[in-house]
Amino acid sequence: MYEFRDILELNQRACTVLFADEQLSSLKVKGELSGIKNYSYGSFFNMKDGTSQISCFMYKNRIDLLNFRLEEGLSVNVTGFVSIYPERGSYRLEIDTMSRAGVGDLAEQMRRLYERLRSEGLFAPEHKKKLPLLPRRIGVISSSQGAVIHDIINTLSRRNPHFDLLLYPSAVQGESCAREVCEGLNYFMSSSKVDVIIIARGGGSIEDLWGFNDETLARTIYNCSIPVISAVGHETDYTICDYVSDMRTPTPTAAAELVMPSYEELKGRNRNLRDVLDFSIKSIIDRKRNQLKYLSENKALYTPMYNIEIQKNRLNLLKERFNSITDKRLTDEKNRIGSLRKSLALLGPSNTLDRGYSYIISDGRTVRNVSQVRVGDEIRIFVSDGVIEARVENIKENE
Amino acid sequence: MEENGFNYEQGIAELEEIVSRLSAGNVPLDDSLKLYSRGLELLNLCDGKLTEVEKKISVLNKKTGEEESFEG
Repeated sequence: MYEFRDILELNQRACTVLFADEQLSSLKVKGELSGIKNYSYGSFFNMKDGTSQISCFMYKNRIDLLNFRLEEGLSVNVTGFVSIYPERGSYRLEIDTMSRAGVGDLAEQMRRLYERLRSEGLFAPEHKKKLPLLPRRIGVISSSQGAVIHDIINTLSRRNPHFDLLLYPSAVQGESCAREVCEGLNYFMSSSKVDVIIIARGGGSIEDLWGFNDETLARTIYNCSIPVISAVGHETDYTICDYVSDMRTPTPTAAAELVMPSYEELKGRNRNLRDVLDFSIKSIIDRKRNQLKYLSENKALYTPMYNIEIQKNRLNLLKERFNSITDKRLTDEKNRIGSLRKSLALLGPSNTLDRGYSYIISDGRTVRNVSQVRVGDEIRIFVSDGVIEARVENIKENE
Repeated sequence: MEENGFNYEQGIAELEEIVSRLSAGNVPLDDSLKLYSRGLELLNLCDGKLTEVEKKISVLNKKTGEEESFEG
């Protein structure tokens, strides 16, 4: 038995063994990149295929030679060798060269599932359920550990002091993730305890989020009777869960903001509605009042009084017209009589009598010649101021 | 989640309908007054709903099926 001086010596020995191996010291392998961490001297990441993964390291100066950037899910062919990092005793693949090998397997799998579910209509917008305006109870399916649930609680508290949250603790990565999230959905559906569900998880690599690209989970979400919000990963991470949910938010915080309207906004909205309601009824009443006022000022409303007034006026008018006509007739007649009287006066004898003439009436007739009287007849001589009664004594006819 | 008969969404929807009918202004006076008092009733119900929920954070104990208060 060999006794190592210390662990460092052990690790160095293991490393030497690896270096001595023909296959491990110069190898070529294919895999998908994930969990990339970049440092000034190089990048650490994992390479993965359907079943297994290995930690990798690549120096900056070698990465700089690549004509592409290291990206999550990128499928690559690499050459390099296996070594052990002596201080940590961790085993890793040190990469010399890298070339792209088309779309990564996981990304390809997800794409195929996406296409299949999409063609079945699982992502159809018309199937999306509306979120409640004011959730009475919010169901969250997430890890009870870590920042995500706290971000959600903090955001809810900030927006509205009145909320009720029930957390269904679930694995959010690894093989049990999809199953547990499905159980959570089924629990909420059967218990009818919540009126909206948030599925939440922080950001991660495509492997970390792989559980959310599960077909059974997708179908459970699709068939869920309660609206589901997907808040899985960060802004740039998309999963099947995001597509099939009723709403997708880039972060758990955004989900909390989406699900819970701000208390102040709701209060303000109700205040506005109250104002509009008051204003509407007031203007209706004002309008009716004005109508009434207008009608009450209309004289036609006072029939029959109004009609009597009209008839009176009419009668007065007629009377005036009648009077004016009658007056004129009277004046005319008066004038006529006056002028007649004048003419009469001119024709009558009195003027002539005034000038010293007289006329004689005998036997009731005016005496115009001597033959009308005989000696002894009584005659009456009219002068301007009276009558002289006389007797005829002599008659002389002009020669 | 509809245990006590009044739903906030429906309340707000009905309220908005009432407001738009009243704003249109061609509603007979009697009906307007009825709508108005229904509107006030809905507003009070909605306001009540806003504060009805007590802040509560629970976590489901999957073994017992009980809800336990969650402090994180």
